Amino acid sequence: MNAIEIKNLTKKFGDLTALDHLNLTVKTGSVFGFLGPNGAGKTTTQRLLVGLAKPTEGTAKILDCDIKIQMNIIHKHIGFLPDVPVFYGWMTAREYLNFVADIFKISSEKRKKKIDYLLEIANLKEVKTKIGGYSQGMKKRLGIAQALINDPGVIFMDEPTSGLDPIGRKEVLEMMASLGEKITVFFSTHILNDVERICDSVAILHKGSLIMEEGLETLKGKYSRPIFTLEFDEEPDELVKNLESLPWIESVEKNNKILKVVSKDLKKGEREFPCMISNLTLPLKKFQVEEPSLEDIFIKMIEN
Amino acid sequence: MGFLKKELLDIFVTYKIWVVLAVFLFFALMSPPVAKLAPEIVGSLSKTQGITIEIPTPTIIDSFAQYFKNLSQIGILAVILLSIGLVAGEKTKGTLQLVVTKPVSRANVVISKFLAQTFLFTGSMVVGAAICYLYTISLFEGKMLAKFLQANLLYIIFYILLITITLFFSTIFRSQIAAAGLSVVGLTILTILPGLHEVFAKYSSASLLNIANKIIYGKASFSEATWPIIVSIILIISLLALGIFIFNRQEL
Repeated sequence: MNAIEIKNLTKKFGDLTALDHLNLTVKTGSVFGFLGPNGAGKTTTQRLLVGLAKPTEGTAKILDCDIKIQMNIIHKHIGFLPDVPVFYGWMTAREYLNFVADIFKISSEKRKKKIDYLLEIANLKEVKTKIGGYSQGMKKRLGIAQALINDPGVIFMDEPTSGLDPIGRKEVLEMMASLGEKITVFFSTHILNDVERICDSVAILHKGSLIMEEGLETLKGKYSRPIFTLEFDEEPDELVKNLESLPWIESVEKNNKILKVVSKDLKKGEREFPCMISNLTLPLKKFQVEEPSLEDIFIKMIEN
Repeated sequence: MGFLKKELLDIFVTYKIWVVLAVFLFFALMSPPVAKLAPEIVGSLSKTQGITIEIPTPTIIDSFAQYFKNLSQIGILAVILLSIGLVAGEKTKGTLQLVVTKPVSRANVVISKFLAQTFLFTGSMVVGAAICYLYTISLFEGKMLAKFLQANLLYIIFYILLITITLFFSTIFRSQIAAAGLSVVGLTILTILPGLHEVFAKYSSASLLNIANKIIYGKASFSEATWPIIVSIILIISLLALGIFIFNRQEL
């Protein structure tokens, strides 16, 4: 079952097309990373999905409810963390969560337990100061806590780790990873490391258009090409000739005595390169295999 | 109810209630003695100038007239200044993003702000009026409670209308300056209208304050305010509805 189904979602601001006929599905219970460079249309998509903006064309369904006509129902079942969450500075975290609990009409018996739990996971239980004095990281963590108070089916997060120091980032990611399988997480980011750490599926958006949508493992399997770095004591010209004739080799780059070979097949490379080197009796100094990061794939796809 | 509760709390926590109460109490406590001492003040001033000005002995009417005169200026300013940021301020800061993506309708946001602001000014006005009345009857002879209450009621209706006008512009604009500017323009138009034609004088909401002052002087009866009250209520409901209609179509 899909938690989110986006069909031809388009948003134009005058002549500028911020989002161009986006089609996307997000499976229930998945952690979906919505990737793209700044200005790709990630925030616009989130704003359309949570009802802060209205689409020019197309629509989307969240938990089977249409964003154009059933936003009042959708709001009961989603959580939302904007890029820069802004709270009422005169409240404490507990007061803000109480305010949100009022909105969701959470009974007083459940409320205290729930708020205690959320303050605990947000690491704000001991903080008694007003939100006005919070750091960015504290605000983001409170932002996630307030988005979880209604046990949402889907939680939208726009750049949840941007602007945070490494510790703040780690805390927010741990909090996101702990959400469990009941909640579908749809989060936009340009920090690829975060996606690699917690996402099941990813979509890459560029200039308002979807470039790719895959499961993270499929994406890596499909697009990642292992890079073999081979270093010799002498120039391996003959090896280069042999390698270039092989169909499973994508590219060979020679730099004096160092070779960078991109293979379409990791296993074949690992098995056959040592034999080929041995047959040519080349003195090998270094043999290293690197798998490209999501960042490499992302940059490659954007460039293409 | 959640949002209304927050709005009411906001009034207390951010000290708005104390500011508005202080304004009304200041005039409630200042107007009666100023009216009482007016002849002596003017007398001593005129002596220094070598002129003799006869000031009739002040009455209870002068005390109330002084009170309402002050309220018609500073009270209006306080309403506008404290209402311009109601929605525009939350739009600019971004606090509404987290609210309207929850089960809080935008109509709820506007109505809650309207009710809380009405409570703020009506409550303060009631306290100020009570103090002013008690202080006045302790300084002057006579009682005119009914007329004083009627005049206060007309002022409250005018304030609520002014809150609605400012809230309307605060809802449709993101800029507080634009909201304030247009509220002042709206108020000016309202004030000019009665002078333009007798029909406006009879029906316009701006007549509320004139009639209130006339009631104090015994020159008008409360029934003369019937049409301005009806027009004001229609304007309040229409502006709230139009504000919500526009707000529902805005992107935040």
